[in-house]
Amino acid sequence: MTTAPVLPPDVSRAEFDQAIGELGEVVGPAWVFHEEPRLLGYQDHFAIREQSLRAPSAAVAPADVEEIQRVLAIARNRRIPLWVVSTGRNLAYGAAAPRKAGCIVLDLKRMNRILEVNEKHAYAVVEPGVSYFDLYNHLQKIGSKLWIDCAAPGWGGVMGNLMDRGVGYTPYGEHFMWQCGMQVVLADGTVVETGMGGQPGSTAAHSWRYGRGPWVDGMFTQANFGIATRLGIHLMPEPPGYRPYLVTFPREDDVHQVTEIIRPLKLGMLIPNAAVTVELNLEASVAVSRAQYFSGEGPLPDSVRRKIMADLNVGMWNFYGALYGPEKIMDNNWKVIEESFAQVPGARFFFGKDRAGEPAFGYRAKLMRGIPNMTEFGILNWMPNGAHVGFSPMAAVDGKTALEQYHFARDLAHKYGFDYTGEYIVGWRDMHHVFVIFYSRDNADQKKRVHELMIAMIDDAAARGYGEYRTHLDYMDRIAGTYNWNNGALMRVNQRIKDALDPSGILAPGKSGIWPAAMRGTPQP
Amino acid sequence: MFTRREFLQTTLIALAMPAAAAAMPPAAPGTRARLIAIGGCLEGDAFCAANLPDVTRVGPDVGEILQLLLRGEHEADVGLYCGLTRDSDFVLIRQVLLERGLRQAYLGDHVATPTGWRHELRADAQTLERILPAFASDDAAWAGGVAACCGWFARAGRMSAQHVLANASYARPAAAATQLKSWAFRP
Repeated sequence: MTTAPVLPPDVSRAEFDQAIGELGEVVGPAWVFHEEPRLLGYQDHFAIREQSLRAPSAAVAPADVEEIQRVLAIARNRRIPLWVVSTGRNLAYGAAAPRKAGCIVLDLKRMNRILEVNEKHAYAVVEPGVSYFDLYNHLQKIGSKLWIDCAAPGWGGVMGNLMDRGVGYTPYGEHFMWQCGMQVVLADGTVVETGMGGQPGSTAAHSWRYGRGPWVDGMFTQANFGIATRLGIHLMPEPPGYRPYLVTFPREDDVHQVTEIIRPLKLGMLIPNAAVTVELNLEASVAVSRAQYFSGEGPLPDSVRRKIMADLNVGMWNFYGALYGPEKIMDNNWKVIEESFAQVPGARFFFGKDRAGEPAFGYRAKLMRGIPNMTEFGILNWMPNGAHVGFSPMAAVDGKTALEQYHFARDLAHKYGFDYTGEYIVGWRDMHHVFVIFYSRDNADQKKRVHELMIAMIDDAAARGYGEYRTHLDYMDRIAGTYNWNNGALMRVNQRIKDALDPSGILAPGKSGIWPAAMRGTPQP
Repeated sequence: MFTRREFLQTTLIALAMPAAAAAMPPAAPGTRARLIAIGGCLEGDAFCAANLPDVTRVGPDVGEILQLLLRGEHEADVGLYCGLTRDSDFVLIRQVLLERGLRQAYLGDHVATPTGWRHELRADAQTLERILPAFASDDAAWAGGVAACCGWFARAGRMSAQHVLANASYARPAAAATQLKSWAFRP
């Protein structure tokens, strides 16, 4: 008899016990977790609402595609939904916890092979359990001259982040842009190779991503239409030189002019990487805690913020970028960049030697050259027992937009009693505006206010024409609801795809707001 | 700061019984502990003093110790993970250890304010009783007292009891962390 505190929806304890037994026969009993202590690793420890809403009934960790197919057969037969994770450690978006309580987590961590590193054509082929640390260490070990691009948490999964359309900080920072070739297992167990991989013996499966005909890879990202079990990812050849830099700006509204300066530099590739414009509070949180400066409630007073700015020798906004290439190229590019940003009164310029030993510059310099680390998590110490959730609207690289998004997010944050702590990650024509809302894990009042703040921001953003690119489990439905042009035509096509590819509705119900037919129409907690 | 070489030195130690805890039952044969402490911090230094010299110190990047734990190559005979870290490091280490099926046996939440320290401790009642004397001193030695109790943590049951206590503040660098977590996990 199992002791799992939560059961899958509409499944009895006896049926569940039988399913657990069957899963154990497939993957081995050691890789099926249903006792409460083992399930703690699959919970959302930053939960804003009740943790029980996202509690799994069990977790199962297959070793290969064949085991996945057999797990899927059990799930189909018993109508037990699976929630798929690669490493499941994105703590700001729900970690490994399922959207719907009672799902069995399909944990792909054991599938952690680096199948190929192609030095000549600069790509790797990886399984879902490969972390940034794993891939980086492997490249170091074999003496590769290829760089990875990693998200800020080095323990994150290369595939998981890419499949959730995450970003990094090198010139390859837009992760999905560099995906090439994907293997997917559908809910009925069919294995599909996408792109050129659809041709047996293809020699370009990881060089040309589109093959011929409809290109379906994107359909499987942020979705629940299949399980990605392998993919190719392009890697950046090591440049002859690398020079990270920081430019600080003293006023809150400088983000307008700074962004206007960034746009042509990005489009002209003088700033080649996914650079970041970081606001003061977030910048400071890596190095100090809020309590070191202010013991009151509510947002930090301006006088305190100015003290922090002076103490840490940073700006109200802090732009981290990097130069790549031969020294002469970097020298020339720097002249243009320096002259451009110098138009902002009070702009100051720093290189590594100026910021030696400072954790913020240190970890950003690592990220912009693809060295995975975990330093950014120091931001959690901003609040006691700190946790965070991301509110992440997209913005064009446009000064007016950047300033407006900052103002509305800041003002709403203040209204609900929180600091604004955010950054703009600059892509080619877009900016991921990530407002990292900090709260205390053990403070029920703060969590209630965070929830209210998230709802207000999602709705306010949509009314202004801004949509989020990614979100926590709790807000997937609401954000999906804002993509409602033509009476929700986009969701309706997603639902038709869902019904066609997963008629039993066993794969990740509720992911990105896409529910199987049987669960539609009833609000899901 | 620590050199990579220093960092990667194994931190597995025999679960020695410190003199201050001589009344503790002997550790099970072969049981070893992995000890982790915040670097560049008075309390981290005190934690290490109880178990010199084999404690892994962590700086701003907890990534290397996480990789060690995630790989698990040298962890088979580790019977206890015990540490004193920033809260953010604790959160990450806890995630990895829970994934590996370990359970938490002890948690101390230590918050420094201008007027003093507040310590909130959770463990089983017997373990809690053993650890309380560590907080009698009004200096950073409390952290050493926590480390000296690691033999008890290795045998602790469920965290069913809680105790909150306070002691006076003492001189610390202005930039020192204002919240620390002491913790222990066991199979």
